[in-house]
Amino acid sequence: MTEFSQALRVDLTEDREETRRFLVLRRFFRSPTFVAGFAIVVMLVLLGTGGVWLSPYEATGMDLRNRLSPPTAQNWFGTDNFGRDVFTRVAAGSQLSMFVGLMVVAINAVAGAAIGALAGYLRQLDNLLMRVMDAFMAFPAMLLAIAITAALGPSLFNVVVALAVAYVPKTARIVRGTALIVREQQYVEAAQVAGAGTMRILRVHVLPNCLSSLVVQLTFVFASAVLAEATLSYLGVGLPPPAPTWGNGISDGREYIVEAWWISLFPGLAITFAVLGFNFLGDGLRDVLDPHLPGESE
Amino acid sequence: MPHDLAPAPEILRVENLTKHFPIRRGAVLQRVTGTVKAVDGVSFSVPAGRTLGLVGESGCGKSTIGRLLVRLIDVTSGSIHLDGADITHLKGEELFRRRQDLQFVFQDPMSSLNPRMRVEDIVAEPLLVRGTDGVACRTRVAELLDLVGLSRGHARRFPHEFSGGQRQRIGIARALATNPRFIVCDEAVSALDVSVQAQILNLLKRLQVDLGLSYLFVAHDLSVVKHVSQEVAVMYLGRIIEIGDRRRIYASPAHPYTQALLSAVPRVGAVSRKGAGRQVLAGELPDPINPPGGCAFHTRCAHAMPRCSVERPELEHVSKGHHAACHLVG
Amino acid sequence: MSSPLLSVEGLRVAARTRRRENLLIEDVSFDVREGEFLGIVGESGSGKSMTALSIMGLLPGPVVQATAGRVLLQGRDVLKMPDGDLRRLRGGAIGMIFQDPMTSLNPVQTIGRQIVEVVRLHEEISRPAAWERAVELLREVNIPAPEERAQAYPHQLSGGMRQRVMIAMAIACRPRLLIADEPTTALDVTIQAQILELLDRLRRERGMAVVLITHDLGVVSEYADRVLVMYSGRVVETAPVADLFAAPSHPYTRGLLNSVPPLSEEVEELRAIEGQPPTPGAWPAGCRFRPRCDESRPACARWDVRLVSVDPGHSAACLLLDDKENAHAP
Repeated sequence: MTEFSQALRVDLTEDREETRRFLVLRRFFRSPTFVAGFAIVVMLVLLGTGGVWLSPYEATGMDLRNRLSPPTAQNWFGTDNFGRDVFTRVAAGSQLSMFVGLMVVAINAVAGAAIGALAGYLRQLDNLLMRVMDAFMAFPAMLLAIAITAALGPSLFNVVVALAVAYVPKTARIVRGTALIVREQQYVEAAQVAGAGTMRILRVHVLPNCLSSLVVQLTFVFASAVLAEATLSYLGVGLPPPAPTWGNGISDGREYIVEAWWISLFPGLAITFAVLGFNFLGDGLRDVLDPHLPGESE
Repeated sequence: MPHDLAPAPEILRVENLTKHFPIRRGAVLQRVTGTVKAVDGVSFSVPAGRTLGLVGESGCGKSTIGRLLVRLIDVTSGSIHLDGADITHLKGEELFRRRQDLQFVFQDPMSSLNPRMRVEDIVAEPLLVRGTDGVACRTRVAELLDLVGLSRGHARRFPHEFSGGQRQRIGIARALATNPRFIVCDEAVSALDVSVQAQILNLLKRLQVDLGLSYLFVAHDLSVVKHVSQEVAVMYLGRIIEIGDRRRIYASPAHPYTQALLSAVPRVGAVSRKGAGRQVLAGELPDPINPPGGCAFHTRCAHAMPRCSVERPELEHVSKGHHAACHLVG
Repeated sequence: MSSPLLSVEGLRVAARTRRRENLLIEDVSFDVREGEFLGIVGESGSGKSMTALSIMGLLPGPVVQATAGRVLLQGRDVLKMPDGDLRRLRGGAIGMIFQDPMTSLNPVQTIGRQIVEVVRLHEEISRPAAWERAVELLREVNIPAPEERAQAYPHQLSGGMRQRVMIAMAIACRPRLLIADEPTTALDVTIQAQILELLDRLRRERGMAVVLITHDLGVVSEYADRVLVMYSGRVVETAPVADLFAAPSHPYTRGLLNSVPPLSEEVEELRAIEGQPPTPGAWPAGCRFRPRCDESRPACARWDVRLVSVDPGHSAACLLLDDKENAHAP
């Protein structure tokens, strides 16, 4: 149905280059899921930075006279069994979660893209690389992460390493899938005829065209990493207490769940929103970056 | 192989070119369970400044030959000489240097241009990888865009902003960037609308004269091949079954397959012929993994004799500069 | 003359995006008589496929819709039919085949079973009887060993065989009209000849009308009784096939004919039409062919040209012809 897609394409081709970027941006914000995800993520970032800065309390500052206080005007989310302000801890936890998420995403972006593109483009490496990735994927990601942190000891760095190892294989597999499609495109052959070397082809032709599927995958990695980091903390193999991670928060409130529900509820809500936000963001990105949409290609 | 082509010096000579693709089964062990003889002992030469048209139906191996010539895929056996130099097994630096003389125009104007690159970067790629500096590149790109009938203002745009014909012009500009002497055009106009196709054909012919280019023009469209070529080779299941001067082949085809192919083309102006007088070829292309013995065409040939299924005919002299591989000839 | 089988009157199809309405076809009118072979030719973006989809009530709504006109099939307006009637119509009174049979066939069902489904959708008939019918249909479209082939899955068949299966399916319920949208574009020329021959034979034997949509002037010239030339969403010329090729009246038709390299004569340079076909929606004012027309005058930009009669049954939409008509007027 080329006529149909052409008809819709006119919208973009008629506008000049300066407005192109703007139009792409506007396409993002036309996707309701993207907007919802974007709003939630912005709120979490504001909570992380603004919340800690606004709050008069320290995330680890105890006030034993004010233990297990329900939400009040002074303590918006109440206090925990050590009298620590839950709001401040959730806000500080947001910083920690974002940091862990970002680090895991960064490692995934580099390692996943590199392994995936190499495996997808150089068929000699494909079997080797992908069998290794398969071996990692044979373990449930969570179990693998627990095993790694248990072996390396609980620390921020080790949590990041564990989660990166757990999620890189999946990212690599997705990039490889796209790279397999890209390598069949005639522009890759054209680059070979032009005399471009393997590295240039990977850098200029393969990777940029794998970018959209990578970006979408990374938002899901971010969501999973946030959830997994909380799980690790909750299980006691993540960041050790008194670090104000969301997982620790839920864990702290477990014994008081009946009389002081707020200790667990607010970190739990934060996790829910974070995961939801990044998943929305990913879905929205996928809709907008879909190569079959007019304007990108036919 | 007997050849008495025009006396013009030849730029490309291909001898006994063979490409076998193994058919693999299994994910890990990848046992080889058979081979497809995509190209099976093909010889021809292209005189400088001329065009050899390579026609045949899908699966006959014509596109594989194009890719073998520019060394996109490796040769199984046989040799390719460009300008007298053997390029069959060149690798690395030597291949890289030779590639400036040998370029390729692709079929699909959509997928042959990287959608994330600007036109100037696409056209300049062969220069950039050869270390040409930015200013020189830009001048050359402007020159090339002029040459293929695009404007300099197009340099900063992206491929999706162009129509099919314009994209094919961009692809041609890229192929011309290194001043090549020989260009393989692989179905270069078959994805285009008729009116645009004519423009591109005229452009290719004009460039040939102006720049002294030689082409291997691979296509399935017989009338297009006739229009651009001086010599034509017809392929069937990996072999050339007829080769020679274009006029002779189109006026008096010697091989029954060429005859059937020509008669199958619907002709503009043959009003309401409704296939009258047409030799409709029975059956379909045989399985290339198990091609018929003897003459590969005997399963569909109206003139097949017992001998045809046993003995494979070699290219025989039909008339001056015209050879066909059929037992009826010679 | 009896009333036509299909009558398209003033059809207008538009794609609505959030910002604007893009016209895809405009003011398209034509008739198809019982048993007639009508060819619709045009390049991409000419609206020929949209015309076919409108006839079958298959426009990809809600974005693309017919905004004006009527499509009368045996007196009933297809555009106003409720969905249930449309489904009965497709595969019933109208059969259709498309360019790519692979995407129209279910890959996990045998072809026999798929034909059975089609038959049982439209007729009260037992499964065994429908199977008999499927085998009979496969035989009618010249599929060898139809009893066995009915058990085959689509991927086990070649492209030509799959297209035959599609034809068998399309004619299963004895349609009065068969719409074929580029049915042979993906096929090799020898297979194309077989398929066209088959279509024409079925048309004669069953007295069914065929509307063949194609970009190939040769195909139209050989098989069609009457031709409709489309450009930029409009009909620019319509004529009995002999008249069209003997005396093309629209400059676009002439340009198109000159763009095809002839098989039987020698042409040094093709008289190509300059420029690109405009994108739907970005059409120039006045005559849409004006920017590419070498006979255009200033007046061409001002008036919308209508089809004017040149000869009985032959009309074209060109201002130059309009003048002549005015000159003859009292």
